[in-house]
Amino acid sequence: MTVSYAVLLVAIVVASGIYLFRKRFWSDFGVFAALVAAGAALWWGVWRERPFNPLLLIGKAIDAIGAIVR
Amino acid sequence: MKTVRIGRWQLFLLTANFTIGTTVFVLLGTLIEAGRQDAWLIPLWGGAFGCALAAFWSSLLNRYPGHNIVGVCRIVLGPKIGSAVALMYVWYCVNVASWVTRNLSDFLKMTIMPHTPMHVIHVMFLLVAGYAVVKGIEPIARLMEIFAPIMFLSFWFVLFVAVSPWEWHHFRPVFGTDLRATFLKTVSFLGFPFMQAMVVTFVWPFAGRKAMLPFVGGIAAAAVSLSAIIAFLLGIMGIYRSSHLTFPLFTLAQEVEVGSVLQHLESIMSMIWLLLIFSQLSVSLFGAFEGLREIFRLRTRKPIVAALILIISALAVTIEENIQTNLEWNQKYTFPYFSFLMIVVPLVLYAVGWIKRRTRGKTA
Amino acid sequence: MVNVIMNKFRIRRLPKSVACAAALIALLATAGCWDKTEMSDLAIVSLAGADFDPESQKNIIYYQIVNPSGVAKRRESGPATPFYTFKLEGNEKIGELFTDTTEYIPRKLFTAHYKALIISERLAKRGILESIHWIESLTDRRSSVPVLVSEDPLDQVMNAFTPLERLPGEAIESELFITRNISSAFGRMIRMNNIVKRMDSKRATVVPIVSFVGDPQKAAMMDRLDSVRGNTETIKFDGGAIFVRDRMVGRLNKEETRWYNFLTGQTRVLLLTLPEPPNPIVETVQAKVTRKWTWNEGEPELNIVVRAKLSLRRNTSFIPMSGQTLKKIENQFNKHAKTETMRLIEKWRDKGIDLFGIDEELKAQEGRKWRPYRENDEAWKRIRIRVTVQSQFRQLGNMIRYIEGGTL
Repeated sequence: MTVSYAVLLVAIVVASGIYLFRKRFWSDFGVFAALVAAGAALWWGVWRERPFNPLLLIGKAIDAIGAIVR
Repeated sequence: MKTVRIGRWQLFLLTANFTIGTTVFVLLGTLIEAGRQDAWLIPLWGGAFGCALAAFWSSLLNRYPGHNIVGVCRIVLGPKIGSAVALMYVWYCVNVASWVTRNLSDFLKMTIMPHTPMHVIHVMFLLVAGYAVVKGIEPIARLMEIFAPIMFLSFWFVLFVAVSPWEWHHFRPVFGTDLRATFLKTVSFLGFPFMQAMVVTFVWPFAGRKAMLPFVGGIAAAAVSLSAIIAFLLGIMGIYRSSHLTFPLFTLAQEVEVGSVLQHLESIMSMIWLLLIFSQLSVSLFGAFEGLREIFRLRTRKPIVAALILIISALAVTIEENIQTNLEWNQKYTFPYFSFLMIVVPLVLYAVGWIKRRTRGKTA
Repeated sequence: MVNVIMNKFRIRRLPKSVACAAALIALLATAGCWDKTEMSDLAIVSLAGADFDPESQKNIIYYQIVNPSGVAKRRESGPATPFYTFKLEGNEKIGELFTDTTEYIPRKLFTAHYKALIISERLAKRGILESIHWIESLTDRRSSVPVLVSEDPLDQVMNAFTPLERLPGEAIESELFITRNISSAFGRMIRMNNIVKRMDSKRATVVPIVSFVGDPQKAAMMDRLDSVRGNTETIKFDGGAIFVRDRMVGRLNKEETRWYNFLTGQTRVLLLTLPEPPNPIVETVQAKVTRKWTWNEGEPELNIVVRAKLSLRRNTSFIPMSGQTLKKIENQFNKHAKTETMRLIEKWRDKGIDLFGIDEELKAQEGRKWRPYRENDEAWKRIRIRVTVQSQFRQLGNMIRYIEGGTL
């Protein structure tokens, strides 16, 4: 059952990509491709059980800045 | 193309619903734990801070009418640096949207639907919110207009019907806690939800000139509502239970029993929460999309929103391990993270813009 | 017609393929597959019980499950018990023991509507923290369930038929709540969430005690219901168990429970026979018990004020009816109520049990002069308490002149 949801999402993304490609909205396509690449990378991390949590980076950055300020 | 316009009442409702949003089921336990019998004061000073911040943002945005914060970045800092700074706000909206989605699935999995995989809940809800965003801000605002009275009345009906175990001594001794220590413990509350509410300014270009009053009013209304909700929780359930339960409001609605007729009112509570989540999610998704549209001069809506849904559904899974880690992260990092984006950067924009106007005025 | 409407509102008609796809996608949004529950898959729990055997160190849980075909008004012939009691025991902790239901019960447990939780006295005295966690941690076990303590072995209480009500769970619920205007044997705050709410205070919660009457073998058989004797072989309520935090620390007898419920404002009805002749039976119909904290001679004082409206509806003794007699009876009532209240308070204060929440109220007072009392955990034991009772007759019953006994 979960697979059907994944298929649905992928289908929507792919259909949008094809739409942009055929209408030749190149700048839109560029942004779209970048976002899809980021999304796919995140899902790949989830699939491989090595999820990428950007909040950890933000936390580390804040800790680092805090250490410098102190 | 017809110009999209949001009325002042719609903006007020959007702001109030956005601010109350997930606070009402994620933070209540921690606030009562920190503030004990005076916890109802915490949203009041948070609201005061939020209103001041909202006034500041309004004055910044009113200097550049017709633009949201992304537009202001690009005007003040130039197209290249401005876009880079604006991307931080787009990231922030995506971040808020993933938090909101994850909170929803945490709640549903714990209470009503424990066996449904969380990805399903995420994708399903995001598709609906995405569809709303694709159609523009007006349908979202109109939805709020229709549902807000129903939500308000049913929510307070449930709370009023639950009052029979009210005990005043849960509030006493009034002001007996160390308020300064409570303030320091709940500094993150200034960030989430009050600084987060600035995301609503992405609808500023559609709101017309007099957008400040409904915006500030929405935040004030949300603060008073939160204070009243905490007061009801304290009176009915007491400090001990509210601070020990994950979703105290849900349990409160669950235990209502008037005669043998009015029972199991937690279904009303869940519906109201779903609507609040929806309003928060659609506004943040809208903000992310609008930001991207301004930066990259996009012409289409659906594909970009679809790609954003892909990212947010993945982030919603990775962004927290469980409610406990979320609360701990919130406690430590929310205030610095949010204040950088919501106080520091706008101050810089304000200052640079002011300097630019003065130098332009001098050379002209 | 549809076309006219659609043209008027300028609604575009979707091409069929898109409409089909949209419908299928909308179906996916109704994601109930994982959590759907069929009614016939559920085992509806009517009563739950918890016990602990100290000799074998085993946790014991009882579930009384409704048998739908036994409860229906028109049944097929043959015995069909309205409920079955399942007993699970094991050395595991309560949270894990619950999964043993799959060894016996061919259904999913549905605990959202259970009517009472009966705890054995030996478990209550050990402490019910595990049971509290068990109930509070999953949202489908409501913490608003009334808690009862059983003096007799839980085995007997859980396997007893009750007359008049086919399900003992329903019988208990009716008894606890319908009889509130008749006697003050049961209070309102007898639920699990009342116990949990007071976990950070010394204040006691009093829950009803059940016991078993008669022959346990006979009570567990269906033909007990064919017997005309109503109160043999059934469960009986008597007194109250005092819980402080998660432990049972004492027991109130029948009289004391009624006074306790009356004085904590949980019931307004109190029926008592006054000790002085002519021993009228007086009933309070409207009562208000308020507490005021005052400062008297440099020391705080708790003033309990009882204002009651009295009635003679249930009186069966002869009293010469006159305004004077009624006033005399009122004064008798005031005196008797005052002594009983003071006796109850002092008896349990001496035992160190805060029955009336005096410590809690003392700590709730605001102001600087209360601070030494707020910070002293033993102060409540020595606080001066004053009881004032005021009463007035309102209803006199159907007899305006009572009949004198003896010979003419």
